[in-house]
Amino acid sequence: MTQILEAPTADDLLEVVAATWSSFLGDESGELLRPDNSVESPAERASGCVTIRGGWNGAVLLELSPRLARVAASGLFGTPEDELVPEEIGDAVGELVNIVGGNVKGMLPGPSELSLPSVTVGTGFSVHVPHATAHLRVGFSWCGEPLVVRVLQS
Amino acid sequence: MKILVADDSRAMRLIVTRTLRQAGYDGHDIVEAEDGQDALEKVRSESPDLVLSDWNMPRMTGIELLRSLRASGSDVAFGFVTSEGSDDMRSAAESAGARFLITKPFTADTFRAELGAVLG
Repeated sequence: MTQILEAPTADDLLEVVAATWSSFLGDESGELLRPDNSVESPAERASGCVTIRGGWNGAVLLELSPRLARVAASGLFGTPEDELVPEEIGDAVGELVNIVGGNVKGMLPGPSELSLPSVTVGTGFSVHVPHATAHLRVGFSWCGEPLVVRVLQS
Repeated sequence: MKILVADDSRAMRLIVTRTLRQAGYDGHDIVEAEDGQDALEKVRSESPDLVLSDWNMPRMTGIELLRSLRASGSDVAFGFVTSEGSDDMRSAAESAGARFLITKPFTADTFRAELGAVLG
């Protein structure tokens, strides 16, 4: 039975992200994705966002460096990095935040609804979710590339 | 057998197809749908033996798809492959007529365990 929490914890995010990378991105050994809260959100990045509305209200964001976004898309699509098109990178980042956000939603009070993902790619932008404030931030390093997962709570 | 894979993410449709192969189900025809409405039309046109559907999709969600199918008299085998695996969603899925709900991320072993009763 799913354990219902009041809010996700850093360990919850670690577990979900690690499971996703292990299952879908070839990191079966769990050695490539390393928790690292010293990583900064990359200035140029791909940012995926899903919102959760209902028994718990907030948002889950994934921020990846452009290189990590390409590597992830290459892994998901099975396509060499240099053959990827922008839509595929957006698709991949969107699906990754959907998976992390969906799993977070499953841990929280319901019923609630998960939004479709939105993905922004570029430099010098920030994502604001109305009425939501920072609840949790977990950083990872994947082969030297930064991944930041943020949870906002309304 | 023919399997319809419905997900708005093309990456995930590829992963589901890849995982079916890894699970030993590589002799089946795969049809793809990019949302619930597309899946509904393709169930009618392709007559699949199994539908593997995401839950949260534009135009028509997976649960709306399943309820539409059952309301129309279709008893096609249906399972969810979704990031959301809460108890209330599993209950809703079962009540609507789904045989299983697989949560993302998943493995080939998960597919074998859940799809074995349908695909053998």
